[in-house]
Amino acid sequence: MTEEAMLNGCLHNDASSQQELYYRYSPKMLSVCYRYAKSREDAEDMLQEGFIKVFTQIRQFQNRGALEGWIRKIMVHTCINHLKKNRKFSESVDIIHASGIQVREESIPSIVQAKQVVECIRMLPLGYRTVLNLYAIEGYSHKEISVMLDIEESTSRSQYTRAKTMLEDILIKKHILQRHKERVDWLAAVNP
Amino acid sequence: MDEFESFLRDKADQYKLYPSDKVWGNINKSLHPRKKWPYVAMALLLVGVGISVDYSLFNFTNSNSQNLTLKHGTVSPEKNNIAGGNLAPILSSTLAAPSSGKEKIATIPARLSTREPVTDIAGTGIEESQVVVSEPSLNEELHSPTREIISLDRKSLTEFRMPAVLPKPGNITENTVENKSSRKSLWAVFPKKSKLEWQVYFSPTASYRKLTGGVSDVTYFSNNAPFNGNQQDASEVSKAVTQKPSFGAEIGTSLAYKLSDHFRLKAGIQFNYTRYQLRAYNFTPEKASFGIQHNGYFADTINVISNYRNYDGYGSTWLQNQYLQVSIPIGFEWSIVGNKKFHWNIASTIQPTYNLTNNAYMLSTDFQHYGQDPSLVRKWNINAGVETFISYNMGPVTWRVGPQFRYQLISSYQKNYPIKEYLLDYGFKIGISKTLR
Repeated sequence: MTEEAMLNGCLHNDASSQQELYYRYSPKMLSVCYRYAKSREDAEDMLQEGFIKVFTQIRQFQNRGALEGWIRKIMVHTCINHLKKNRKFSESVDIIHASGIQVREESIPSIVQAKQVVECIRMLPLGYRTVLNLYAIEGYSHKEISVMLDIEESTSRSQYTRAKTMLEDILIKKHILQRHKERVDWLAAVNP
Repeated sequence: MDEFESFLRDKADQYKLYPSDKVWGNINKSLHPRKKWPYVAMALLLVGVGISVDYSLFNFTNSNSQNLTLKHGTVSPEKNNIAGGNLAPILSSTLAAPSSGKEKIATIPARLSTREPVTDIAGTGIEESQVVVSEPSLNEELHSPTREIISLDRKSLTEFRMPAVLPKPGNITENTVENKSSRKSLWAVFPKKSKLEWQVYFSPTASYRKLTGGVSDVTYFSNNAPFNGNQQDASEVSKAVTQKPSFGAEIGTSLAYKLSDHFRLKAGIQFNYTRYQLRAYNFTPEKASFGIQHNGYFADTINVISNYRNYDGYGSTWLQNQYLQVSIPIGFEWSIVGNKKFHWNIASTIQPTYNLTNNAYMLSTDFQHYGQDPSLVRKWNINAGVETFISYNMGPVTWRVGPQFRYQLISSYQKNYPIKEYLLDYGFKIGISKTLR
């Protein structure tokens, strides 16, 4: 089924077209949700809510830009809303609260590299992880993040800096990255 | 974007996870919910039709009963041969006979049925001699030699008392068997009267609405104060708006099926025009936000452009919210009390309703604006109607007048919109009904 036919079917609430769209994009979108979620179950809940929104708001897509990008934006917003419902989230974006967390090397799972990296990201405290996901992976600006998370722009920046440092530390401990002359030479490690 | 961020993005994009099957199942269920009410309505309708058909075919009841009394001592054995078709001479002769001494009476109750064969009479202890026959017309029918009564229902038989001069039960049985071929249904005795009644009505209404939704639920989305100035302390959405009723109308027609003199089932079609007014303030075009809730929290926002504010603006105006609906009222009527001309009745209906068109301004979730988004308005809904009316029988037609109340059971808006609206219609119904031939 072409993307145009699939979209047209979704606009007419056709179940087979919706299913096609779901199976085409759900694996990638679940990995997006997984980076924000506490658990696999939470990620599936987010995915479910996100796709319901995708199908109910498909008329707003109007073929502007890539469909995947549009779906991804909805997923990210769904994840953020999900997190905001959790009171612990607002505490976790508090930079002081999150600064003293230590990473234990043995807790890092030893699996294939893409998954290793994602699992390392998921080891970050919730606030750090969310800012890092939004800034480094989704490409939102700190200003946009501050609006999305109801925090100061400066808080977003500092959260990201600390998240990045902590993630580098985790990746080095896992031997995904190597420290080279006081610098993280991640490129040499992953692309020898 | 530095190299580290690029690395993270690449790795994150390479990673895929496959959701469990139940996720798609839940999504599909949410997008294509099974519409239960048509099945429920259809089932109720089928049950109603089934009961009605069964009632009509096997349990005919003559409701306009009158009693005739036959006095003891004038009834000869052969005249008591009811099964043989000789009841007419009994009635005609004994009605004229003088009363003498202690009266012993046998009773044929008003309820006559085609289900029970007359041979059951043999099992009853018949002693007395009052015969009660229903329907004045029955007397006339019985005078005709071609008319026969061939059956009685079980309840009647327990009350049936015959004079001592009656033939032995065995004779009755024999006669019954002999005359089997000449049995006729009661439908032949009583001309069938239609139980269907056609009704048509019109009702001017005053329409209003009930708004609900806790302020705390609604304002979670905007995370700021929903009200201006002294309205900050409002605890209900309804306190944040100014609205007033407006006139609407209902017009409809229905078919009623008479289960008894006092009880009718009915179903029909009805058009409803409902409207009310909202106070709004003109302003330059602004964004009006409708927060969409999912599982108790706000998952998304629909933004529309609006020229109307709920509070301060250039000048006030009254917006008119209008709904044109078609519904299928299914319900009953019960005649509580009355005589041949007048009856006092109550009625109730459940009304699956389809929203044909609407022009409705919705309050934004920050309570600041009025905007329109048809996608947030339900197409299907369910209403309940109650009414009481006086019916006046004018022979060919019956007039019906009385107050009615109609209430919308489900919010006008989609369930994920946190503000709930329930439409109310107060009306005065005027209608006529006519029994179908």
